[in-house]
Amino acid sequence: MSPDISCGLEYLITPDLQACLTEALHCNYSFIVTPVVHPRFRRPYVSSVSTVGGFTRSDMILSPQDWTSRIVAKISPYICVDSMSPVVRQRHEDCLNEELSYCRGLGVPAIMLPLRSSNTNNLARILQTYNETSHHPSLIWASVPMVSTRIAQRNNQDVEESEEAWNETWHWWSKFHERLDWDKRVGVVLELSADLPAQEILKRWLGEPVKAIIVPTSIFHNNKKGYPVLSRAHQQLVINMVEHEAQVIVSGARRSNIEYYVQYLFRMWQRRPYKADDPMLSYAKGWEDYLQTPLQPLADNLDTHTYNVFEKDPVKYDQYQKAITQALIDIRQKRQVKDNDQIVNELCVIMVLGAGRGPLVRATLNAADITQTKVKVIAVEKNPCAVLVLAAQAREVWRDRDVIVIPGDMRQINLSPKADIIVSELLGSWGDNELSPECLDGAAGLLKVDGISIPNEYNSYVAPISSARLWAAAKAASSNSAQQRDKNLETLWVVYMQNKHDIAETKLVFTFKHPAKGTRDHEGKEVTDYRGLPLTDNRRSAIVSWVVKQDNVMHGFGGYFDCSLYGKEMISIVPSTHSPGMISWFPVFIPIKTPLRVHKGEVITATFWRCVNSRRVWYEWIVEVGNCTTPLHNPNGRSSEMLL
Amino acid sequence: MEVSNKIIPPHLNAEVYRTDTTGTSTLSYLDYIRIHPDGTVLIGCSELTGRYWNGGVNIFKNGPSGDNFIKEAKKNINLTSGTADGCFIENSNKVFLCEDSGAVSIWTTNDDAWKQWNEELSVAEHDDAVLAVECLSPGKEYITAGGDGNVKVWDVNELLCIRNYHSAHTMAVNTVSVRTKSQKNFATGSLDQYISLWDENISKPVCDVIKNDCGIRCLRWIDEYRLLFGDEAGWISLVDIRKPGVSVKLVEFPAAVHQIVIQSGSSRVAVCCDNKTVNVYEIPEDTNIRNIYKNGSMHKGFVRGIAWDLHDNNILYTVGWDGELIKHCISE
Repeated sequence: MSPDISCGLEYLITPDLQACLTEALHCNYSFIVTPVVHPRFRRPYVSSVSTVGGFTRSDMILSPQDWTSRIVAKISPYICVDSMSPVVRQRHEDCLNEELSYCRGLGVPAIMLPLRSSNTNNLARILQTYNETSHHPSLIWASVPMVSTRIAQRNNQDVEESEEAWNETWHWWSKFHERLDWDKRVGVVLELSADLPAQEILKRWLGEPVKAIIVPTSIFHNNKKGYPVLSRAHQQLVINMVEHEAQVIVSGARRSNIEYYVQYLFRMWQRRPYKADDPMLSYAKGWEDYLQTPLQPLADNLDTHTYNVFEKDPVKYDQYQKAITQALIDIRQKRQVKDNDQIVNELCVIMVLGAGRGPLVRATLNAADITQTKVKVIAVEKNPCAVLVLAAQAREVWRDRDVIVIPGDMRQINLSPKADIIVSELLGSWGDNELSPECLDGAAGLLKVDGISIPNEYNSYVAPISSARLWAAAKAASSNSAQQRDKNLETLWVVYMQNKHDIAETKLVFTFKHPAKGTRDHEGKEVTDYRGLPLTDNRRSAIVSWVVKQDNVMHGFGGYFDCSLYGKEMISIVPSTHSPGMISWFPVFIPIKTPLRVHKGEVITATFWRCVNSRRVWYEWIVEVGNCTTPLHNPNGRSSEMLL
Repeated sequence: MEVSNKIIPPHLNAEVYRTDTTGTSTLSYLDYIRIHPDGTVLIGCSELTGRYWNGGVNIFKNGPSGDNFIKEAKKNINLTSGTADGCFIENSNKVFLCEDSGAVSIWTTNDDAWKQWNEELSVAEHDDAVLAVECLSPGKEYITAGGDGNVKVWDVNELLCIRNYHSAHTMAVNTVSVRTKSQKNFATGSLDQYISLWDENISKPVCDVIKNDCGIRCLRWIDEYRLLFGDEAGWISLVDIRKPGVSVKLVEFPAAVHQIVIQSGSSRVAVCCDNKTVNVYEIPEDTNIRNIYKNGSMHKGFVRGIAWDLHDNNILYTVGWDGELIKHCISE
């Protein structure tokens, strides 16, 4: 989240460019939007014939730094390269190319041009060529009004009631962006209207890469003292947009001193309703929409810094401690029922499987103190570096306690006595994606027959989302080869998702329980392996479907999990039930290779498979909407897999 | 030639350019010409490619002859931004100017010796350049059309906007024309391809007369029902408001049609495009259009403004981006 609001001033015309820029900077605007060619200056443009005299002022009147950091260039407003008339198309294409290459020479940070219909094939084509032929292309800012006034007028309805009029301009932008293959160098600039649409439509815009919002001076009101202010609804919208990294452009006739507008916007931003004190917001700062490959703690050993980050979670270990405490209380009660002092006071064996640098050992010891239970803690850890740290703690700080450190893979060791409780934290952002089921099933032999597993159940969830930004970032991540790009879109990405919109609600995908029951054979008997442990089947498949509530484009899924530790103690990163303040997990983004255009009333059906063989685990998925279907993603785990 | 007394270190060339403003402000682009019945001439000009994009106006008596208009002469009115259109308000000592900054202003002069023009009123309410002005009711109400898509009716006594057709069009409105024999109906043409018909007393368009296949640049009423319009593709077409949606293409030019001006009381129309050529046509009752004059050599830049002589039917004046005022003799 940006700490500050960045405001620009749009000049309808810059008669004296130096003076305009000075004026705007003096008023604390950060940049100006200006035409680079006089908007009324029509010129004969025939490629290959150059004319002496030039088509605009000399760029030397500004310093290079001003051009590259303070100027957003506006393309001449009359240019319409998608006109129905072929001659107009051709002439305007020449003009546009001239202006684009002039902007390329200036090195402006962004070029702004308007979209006026959903017919933008030629514009998209020209811009693609521009991007292909520029080493450091300027960003393209496509401006669209929030509402199509012409449709609203034609339908003879109030603007607020005409859903079509609000959808229309989103379609202009969405189709334009689609034609540019959701290029991340192309963003949208949204011009706010006096009336605002339904919340659903505003939320959809929040999922788009809105680079800036234009706030026309005409939508400000004057307060009692005569200063320009915005309505409450507009304030909220501006704040939401700025939180999504949009810049603000003040535009239009000067109905008041232009300094007042920017002062008002700064003040509004400072006084914005204080967000609930959520550690996640400060923790995630700077990580918005930044894609990471999921960790594979089973295949790779984590480094000490990673442990250090995850141990800092103020909520997760507290939840574990409560869960262990509750489990110890329940065990004692159960023993008391048996009414045998000897059993009641018997040592409780608690194994921490995958103990890392020991936070759960600490939580277990605390729980024992709280419940005044005698415990034996066995910390199992496969990472030699972490074992070293654990052993040092056992020797130094836990020397009075009964703590044993066992190096090794929990799936392979055999220990006696067996545990009353096993505690583990092996979950990934999508629940089972760090192979918690395989690890815990492999360690089932360490637990007593009626022993407790903390956690005892976890579920993964998905919601279909629209996010051109995440999709483009996933596609382009790490490598430029076409082959890699294909793989990137068959991979789960861990990301703090900000610039996205949920097309529909979050739904359950897979569930795992521990201790797990073995599969049953055709006689109905539980199957066991050579060690006598139940042979579990951790393959899964799930079909999930949603009804689309408004037109949108689906780029993939947001993936989440929740987990029952013990009793009523839960941890969750599902948005609706997110454990407050828990920072250990960002969600996952599960892309689809070809974004799907979805329409109101259609049904999205997704099928997910969790596939397992002796060496590895992987996911496959496929999505259908109406007659369209994506290809099967990640067949046979060709692009992404978790090694056992 | 005078030798500069300052030696500029070559590596400071750019920095010096930024502050050396001595050779600027030529205002060489003439945009429009209007002639008052008493012979006073209004010529608006702008600088479109120089360091400053400002504007100016020349107003002079005794008709538009080369002796009265001197290119380099000091402007009677200087504007901080360019001007795309302007007109007299009834008297020849009062003018209404459209500015690229979105402002409209009224200027007057006293009949004293200095002939000073003073800004009486100025209002910035258009959200983009003001592109055209027409008189709805002489001395009272004037209509402006803007690059912001808005159309406004002004009471010029107070310079109050008495009606704002907000988002009349979705793109720049290049042209407005008051219906023949009417003081309340007018038509607007826009780059959004529509021509719309308006009634001063109704806030919504009376109807869309036509949707063209490209932007509308200029339009004029021939009579109460027929509209002549020029477009971005270079066509002049005719549409009858009794048959909305149907237009007849009359003649094609090699560049977008910028301006058409009909001679009052006749069926002659003068045309200029985004090029150097001036054309005059005769429009009979049917849809045949006949060229009676063509000149592509007198202007050295795009022709922008056209005005018919008020006394001699065969004389036409044009101004252009070459800075010239040209007199044309049309003889069949």
